[in-house]
Amino acid sequence: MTELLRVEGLSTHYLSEGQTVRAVDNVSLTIRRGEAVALVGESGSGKSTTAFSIMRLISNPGRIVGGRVLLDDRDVLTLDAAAMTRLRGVEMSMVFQEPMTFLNPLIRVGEQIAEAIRIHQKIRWSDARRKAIETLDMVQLPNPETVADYYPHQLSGGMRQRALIAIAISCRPSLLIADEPTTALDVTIQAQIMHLLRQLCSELGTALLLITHNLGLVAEYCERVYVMYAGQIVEEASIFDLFESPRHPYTEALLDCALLFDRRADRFRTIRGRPPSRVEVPSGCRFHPRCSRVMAECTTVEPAVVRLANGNQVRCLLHE
Amino acid sequence: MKPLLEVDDLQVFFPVSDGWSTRDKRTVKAVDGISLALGEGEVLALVGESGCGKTTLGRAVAGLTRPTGGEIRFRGQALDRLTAEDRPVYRRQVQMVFQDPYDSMNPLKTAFQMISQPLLINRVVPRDELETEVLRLFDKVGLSPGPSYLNRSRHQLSGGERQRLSIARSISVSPSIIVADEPVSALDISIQGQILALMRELQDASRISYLFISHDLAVVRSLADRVMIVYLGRVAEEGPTEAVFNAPKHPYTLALLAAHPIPDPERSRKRRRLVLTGDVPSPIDPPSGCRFHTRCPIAEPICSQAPPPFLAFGDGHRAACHFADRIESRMEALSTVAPTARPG
Repeated sequence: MTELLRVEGLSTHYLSEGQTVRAVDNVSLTIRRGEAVALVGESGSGKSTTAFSIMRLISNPGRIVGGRVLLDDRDVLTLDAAAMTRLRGVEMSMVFQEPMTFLNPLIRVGEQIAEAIRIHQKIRWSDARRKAIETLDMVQLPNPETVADYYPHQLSGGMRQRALIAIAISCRPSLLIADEPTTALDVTIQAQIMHLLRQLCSELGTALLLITHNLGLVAEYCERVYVMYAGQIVEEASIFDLFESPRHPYTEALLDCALLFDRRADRFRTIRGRPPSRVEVPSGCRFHPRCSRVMAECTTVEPAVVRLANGNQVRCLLHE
Repeated sequence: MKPLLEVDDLQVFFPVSDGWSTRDKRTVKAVDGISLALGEGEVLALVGESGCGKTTLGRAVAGLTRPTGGEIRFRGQALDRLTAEDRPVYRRQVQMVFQDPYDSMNPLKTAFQMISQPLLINRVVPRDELETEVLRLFDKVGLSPGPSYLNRSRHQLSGGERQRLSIARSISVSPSIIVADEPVSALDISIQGQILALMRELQDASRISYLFISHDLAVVRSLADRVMIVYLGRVAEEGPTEAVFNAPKHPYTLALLAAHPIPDPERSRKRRRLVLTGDVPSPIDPPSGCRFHTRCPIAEPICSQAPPPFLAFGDGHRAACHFADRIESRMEALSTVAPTARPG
């Protein structure tokens, strides 16, 4: 598989009340064509900011302060606004967590999809509408002609997410970023949406970057994983390696938490403390205050990313 | 032993209207004939998709929603026959913990005010011992060092701390039942365990019973003694947790289990696929016969004609499905999607 997206040393900061929050700090990742990759982390780990930075949707007080985002060898961060508009939707697009926030409540669903198509293709409204209906059919909404005339409030949560996916794939992008696409949905509807995403991506040859906190979804739908903690990537692995032998103590602890829920728990495994505030990042390894295998040097030495023999990466002094 | 709480054939209906017509007399049957019993120190989980009535049932038990029919008995005494003196006593005995502690807290009040108010109203401690008692409760729910939390308001607390505070508020009046409505679903996974551990600890220490409402099967399995799976206001299946998880008898339970993502790539890619189509139907006009038949993969003509009876499987495990006793062979017969092969 050839490389589609390469993010190198991406840093995004938020400036608030004179303080700098380093939401994304020197993040590098790659996605190959057609691959399904997960970016996992707890809330506040910087995973959504990474996604928004790749799409260049960061607005004040946030700013991308460094790094490169190469999509097919072009640096997305240096493109002008017009080129960026041509790129978004056509080459990469995004599905968000809460579809109601991203659908216009006053415009019929079909028209919103047609609008996305007309931004990128010089076609008539009637043709765009026909394409919109085709797209609604692709996301498996029943009676697409009828649904096209519905307003967002007439759709259920699962149907809204399908409509949002329809907008995202209407121009057949080569990269689809899905930011917690099923967090607001029931498990049964979550399964429907994830199956649909997987099916569409394989039909269209689209690569998927799934942003999630749910390790179950990662295990089921992705091939490779990046784990994020406090703005940094702490581990990268193929999913079978990650779930079989996690290398970073944070990953290990997260898996413990997730797996222990799988049966009657005699005691609950937790990670002590809580994610650090990003204004005051811990010295040394950022995970050290919560780590069960903390050593003396973890408090002072910041671990570098180490590439392991099997091609996986980890950021931990235990592996240096 | 007599159960602490008994719910008999409970119905909670809400009138709805489309707008103009006053003759429009339709109702949402949120809870339509549910019975349950909750023993002392027991954890009963209510599970189902959104819109199936689990929150309404919890609110009715907590006395926040008036039932349309049926009866709720607490220590043998019917709720609707409580005297004016007994009603506050019941309210004290049954407390509620909500899903989003942010929404259920007054933004203008400090943690101290939030906990001291129920203590004062219920005259739990005299005024001069208030602070000691609040600090004792903080300590009990793991908010330490306690004094540093006294003057914080809700926006100065993390999600986990807020849920701890909300638990402190509910145990301040020493209840015997806590109705916990999705208490951990808004929290990060590393924090969920902390809150569940706290709930288990309180239960062991004070014999509190929980009516635990959740859509997350993993959380339910880790905590509950018994589970009740509800669908469109009715019970689909109930029984001891391990019996229901290991040998589910209702296709809806099977579908919920199959939809739950397993954090293990080997297992999750090998198991049987069962994806329900569509959404939960409207509770205004629920499907005839078995309410699940419109989405059921093994439905037959009888399912739309006759409501299924409960079939019992011992130890209180029962399921309302015409084919509950033959569920394994029925599911086997379904075509299965080939498991995804391991790459490489």
